[in-house]
Amino acid sequence: MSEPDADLVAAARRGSQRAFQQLVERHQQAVRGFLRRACADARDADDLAQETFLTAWSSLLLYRGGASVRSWLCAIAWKKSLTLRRSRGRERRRHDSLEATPPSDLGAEARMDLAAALHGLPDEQRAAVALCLGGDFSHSEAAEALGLPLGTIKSHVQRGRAKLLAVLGGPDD
Amino acid sequence: MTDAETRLAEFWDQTGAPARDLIFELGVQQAIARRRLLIDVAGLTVGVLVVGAFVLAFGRDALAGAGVPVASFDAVGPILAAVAAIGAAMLWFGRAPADEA
Repeated sequence: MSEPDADLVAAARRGSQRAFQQLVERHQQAVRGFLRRACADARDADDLAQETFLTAWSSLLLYRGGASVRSWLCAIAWKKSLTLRRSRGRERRRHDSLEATPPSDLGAEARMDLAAALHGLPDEQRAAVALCLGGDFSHSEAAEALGLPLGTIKSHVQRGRAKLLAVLGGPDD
Repeated sequence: MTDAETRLAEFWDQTGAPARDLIFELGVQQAIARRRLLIDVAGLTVGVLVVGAFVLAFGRDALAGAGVPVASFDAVGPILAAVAAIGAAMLWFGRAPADEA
């Protein structure tokens, strides 16, 4: 049976590199998946994910245990992505990474339309959608990660989902 | 699940990250090792500077007080520097591995 996150955090605080590495293994998919969907570019997403884990490592003492570890990590990741976006502006194309996904039944055009629609959502709405629909975050976890009220998250997810389904010609209620 | 919902689920699958990625994990490990090295070097540098300043300030009096015949404190400098360097190296190489800390 795997160790709980809290035990791994405690061990990492005592200096165990192995414990922190286990946290990276366990949560890299959630953090990178979130950033890939919320960020402009997959390369940016993975760079930011690495920076996120580095920041988490140096901030282990600041983790209070109130939120889940993956919410805490995604909160760091989200702040970093906003900082990067502000510093870079909008000069780069925003959906390069999502266009570069492998071919499938979904179709290139629909994929590009969805990517454009996703990146056309307001920042917080996109992040909420990326966490709750793209990832398997609960609304509460997303609220912790994004520092938003639970009701706001629910509203963002519902509206964001409707916009994305509308792109696919589905019900937009 | 409607067709649109199925296609949206497929989109999420395509835009996610793999469950394991050894290259990414290794990258994080290396970044942390670099950061740890910087912190260690910075700590060691500060330690050596503090000891050096202490020796410069009080070394002559301490040696004289201990009855060591010191004709010129400058002549003792290289010896003290060598001792400090050896001590620093012993501390450096004698560190416990991170996972034993």
